[in-house]
Amino acid sequence: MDRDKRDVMVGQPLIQNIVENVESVVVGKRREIELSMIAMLSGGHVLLEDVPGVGKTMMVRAIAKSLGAEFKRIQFTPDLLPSDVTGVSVFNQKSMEFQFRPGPVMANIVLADEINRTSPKTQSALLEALEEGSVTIDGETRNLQDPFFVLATQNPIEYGGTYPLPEAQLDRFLFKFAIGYPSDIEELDVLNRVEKRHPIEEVTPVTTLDELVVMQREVLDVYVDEIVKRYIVSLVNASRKHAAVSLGASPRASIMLMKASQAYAYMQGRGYVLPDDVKFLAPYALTHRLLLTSDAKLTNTTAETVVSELLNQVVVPTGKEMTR
Amino acid sequence: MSLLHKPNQSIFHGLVYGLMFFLLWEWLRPFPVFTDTGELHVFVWFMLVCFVVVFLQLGFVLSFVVVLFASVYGLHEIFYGGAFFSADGGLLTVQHLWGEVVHNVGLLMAWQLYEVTDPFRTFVMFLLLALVSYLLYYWLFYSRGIVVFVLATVVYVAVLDTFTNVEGDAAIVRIVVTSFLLLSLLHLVRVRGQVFNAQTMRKVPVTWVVLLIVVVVVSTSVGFAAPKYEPQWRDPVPVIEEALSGELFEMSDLSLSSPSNGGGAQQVGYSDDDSELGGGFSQNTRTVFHAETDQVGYWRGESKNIYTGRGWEADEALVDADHFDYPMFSDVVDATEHKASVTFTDEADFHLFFYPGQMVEVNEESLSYDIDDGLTPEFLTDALHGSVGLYEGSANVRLNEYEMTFQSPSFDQEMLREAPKDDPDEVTHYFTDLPSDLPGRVGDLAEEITEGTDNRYDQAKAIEAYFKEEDFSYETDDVPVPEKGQDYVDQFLFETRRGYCDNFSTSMVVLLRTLDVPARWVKGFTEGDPLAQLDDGVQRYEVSNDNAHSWVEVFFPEIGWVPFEPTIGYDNDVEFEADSEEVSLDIDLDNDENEEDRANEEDADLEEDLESSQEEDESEPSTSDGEDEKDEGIGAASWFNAQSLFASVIVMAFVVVAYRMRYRLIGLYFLVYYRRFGHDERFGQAYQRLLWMLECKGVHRYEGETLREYAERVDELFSKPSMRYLTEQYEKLCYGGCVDHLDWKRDQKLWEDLLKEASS
Repeated sequence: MDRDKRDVMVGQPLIQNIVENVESVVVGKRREIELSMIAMLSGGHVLLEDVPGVGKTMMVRAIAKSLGAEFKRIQFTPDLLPSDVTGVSVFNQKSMEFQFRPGPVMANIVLADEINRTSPKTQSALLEALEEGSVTIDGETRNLQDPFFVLATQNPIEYGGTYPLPEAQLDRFLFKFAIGYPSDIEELDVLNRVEKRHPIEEVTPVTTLDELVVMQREVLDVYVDEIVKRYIVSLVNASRKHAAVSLGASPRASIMLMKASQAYAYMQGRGYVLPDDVKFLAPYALTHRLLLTSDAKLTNTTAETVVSELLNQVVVPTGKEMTR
Repeated sequence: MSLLHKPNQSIFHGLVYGLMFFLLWEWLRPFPVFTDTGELHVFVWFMLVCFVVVFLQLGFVLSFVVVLFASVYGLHEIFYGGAFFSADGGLLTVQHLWGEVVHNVGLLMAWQLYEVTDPFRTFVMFLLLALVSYLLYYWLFYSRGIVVFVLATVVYVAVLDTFTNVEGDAAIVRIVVTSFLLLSLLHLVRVRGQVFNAQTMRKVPVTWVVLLIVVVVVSTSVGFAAPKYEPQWRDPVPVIEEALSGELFEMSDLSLSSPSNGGGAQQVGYSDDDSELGGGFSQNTRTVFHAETDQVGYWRGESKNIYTGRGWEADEALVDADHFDYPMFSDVVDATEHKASVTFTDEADFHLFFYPGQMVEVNEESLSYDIDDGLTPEFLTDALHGSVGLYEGSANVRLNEYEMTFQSPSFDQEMLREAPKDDPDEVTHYFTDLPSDLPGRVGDLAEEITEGTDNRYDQAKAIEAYFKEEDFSYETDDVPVPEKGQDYVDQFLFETRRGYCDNFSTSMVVLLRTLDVPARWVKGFTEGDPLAQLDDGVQRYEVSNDNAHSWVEVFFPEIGWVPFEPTIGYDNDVEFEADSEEVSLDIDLDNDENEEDRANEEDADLEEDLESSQEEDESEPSTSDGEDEKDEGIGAASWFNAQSLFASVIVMAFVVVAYRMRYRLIGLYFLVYYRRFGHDERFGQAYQRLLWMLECKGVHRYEGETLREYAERVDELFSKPSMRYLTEQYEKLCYGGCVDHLDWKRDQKLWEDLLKEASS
């Protein structure tokens, strides 16, 4: 990409359209919508840890509708089997051959609801799909659709009857955040909107999946300067050295943070990543990847406070060495 | 006790505030000395009223009325007198005062400050005192910082003591005691304020206060009684005065300083005319010559023999001489030969040679002088007065430089004591004359001093010692000129008893002559200030006008002229050996011991010997330095003169100002630099400079703060969006790697405005 035309991004207004489209359904959650779009643009997936009924499904459905994408929902239950997720080959007696019945994961946008209520076996079937972008059924590897975006939700861990996701699995999600309750005014607004008819039904596509793929490619062209990369590395590195952390963020975290920053810059119509982008995304991208020491847990230190400490401590590079 | 319910009104607070009253009193005390203020007690009483009023916190109106009344009453006491509470008392005063105020406000408006009348000035002074007493209260109990005031008081008294006739000794002691108590009690107030509630603060901590008083009293008494060093610096006043006026005096004036009849101050220096002595003089530190020699001694110039009752004159007795055959002392005196070279400064104008001890020879090759064209001066010696110089008729000869050989004598006390008394007729003729109108009591005094002595040496020593034992004081400023018909020596010995070298030396000569001891008055310079240690024990000396001196030479038959030093605080370097035999015996003993030691420690390390000898070498100059300082009477540092003081004050002031303004100066440099050299490619650098300047001025960027966040803070601080804009440009450069968007011409104005704002 031409360096000097970095500000001119074809997809940026489209993204804004999608965000506004979704916002008409999910009131007052612009940041969460944007984060979801960032994840989608950079090929990552999102884990929502939230109580039921705050509009997770609505958000995903609205995104899917705005893109005109295929949307599937998997409700995870303790008795769900891996094949219920990925699909299964069934013998067709008419044609006398096995026929593949795709599971719900074979869609562009998948809502994996209450992922921590199912068995680890089924969880890992989904998570393999997240990481590889493909599933293997009966020895046959099948590619998932492109673009592919999963929004998983989990109940807060304190709730009973859950199988918490292990750290390795958590690491596969780009972001983890909560939607949270709307404010009074927003909730009132929600009531007014759904009074006659649910606004989701009025959502119309504003773009196509092809355009989304183009945008995903454009995101890769967003320039990340060496000093910004170094900033990401020092942030992630610092998380590994923090006293309250027993297991810090992985190199995968660095990669994902960088890609997400590119997508965020892209969304703002900027052709290069600022440390501000990294700083903004770091809490969502790093918090769920840190395993705190038991001491820290006893003193009520949370991963959120650790990340905000890191952000306050790690020096933001300002290119002092540059003499241009 | 309802009064005590207000804050800061406990007895304890009253105690502290009362101490403050005493401290402020110290400011008033010297007023009568250096101003024409009288009736000081009225001011003190008024101040007391003010303090009470302020302490009781009577409210503005009541306080104002009381203070006004008190000041009117005070004015009445000072200026108008009579009963205050009578028909023509207070009322009249008020009427007068009103007239004064109207009159003087008019004067003030017209800026005619000199015309302001005394009552009005006093009234303003009263108001000032009232204001100060309130200010001190505020300082004491609200800011709780009183150190500045204490320091100011000390400085005030010290300055007055130095520059005026105010005697600050007792005041300083009082201030120290008061301040100690005050600061400690104030600290107690602070501590108790933190720890206890208001109720406990009302009680006076008796034990604590008693202990404090004991400690302060004991430490002050010890400090007062303990021996103290003399001032290490000479009085700065003459130096400062000279700095202010010194440039006006020319060197030539010093050599011909005119006799001062009206008691005006002369300047210290070597003068040809000594016919009218007396009067004070001011210091002059200009260098006369530099000398290099391995043997210090007074630099003798000439002597005079005729005492007129007001000063000295000399018989002319110049003789052409190829060698200096006038004997200062004969061969019987032990003398060592030394060399010295003398270089006069450009300002000095002398045709006389100055030499320590006895001149032997002047190296003609080294001789350098200035004279009118075509003339050759000749050496002329004055054997009578022991002086040698270059002369050529009436032409002015000016010596620049010479090297000479001289003898440094060492007189044997016994030999001096046993010297015969039969003086040559010539000596008796020239050196025992006294004016006929010399008061008889001078001779009586001489008899009294020398009672019990039977030889010239002891007589001379007794008179020499007399000045140092009696209550004579060394004084250069306040020395009166003898009145008409009054004898110079008589005035000094019996009336003033203070003076400088001329007084002491002349008096000693006259005292000796009353005993028919031939003596003469010698002029020259003291050895000077040692500057640097050169090779072979040779030291470089700087002799300045300060060193101009006069002393006494006494004639001993068959021995010669022996110098004596009557002036307090001075010490001649002439050696008087107590008993040559004993001394030599001691030396022998020492040597024996040393040899024994060496014999015993044959295998002693050679290095040790070397070291010890080095140590000895090193210790020698330092001891002689010490002696020099003692000889000077005061340990005056040679570098502490007007020029260096002035220069360092200016340099210090410059440094301080530059330091205080450093950011402004650096900012100015940046501005100029980027106006001249700024272009698009230097934008990044310029932005970094701006960041640095902001950081220096206290707008700190936190570690985890991004430029954008910082810029927002900065913009909020300066209430304009320039930083945000510049930061965006910089971000594009720094994080985006773009350069095409940069336009220095476009952004320069914003950058400059921010930089100016940041650096100011």
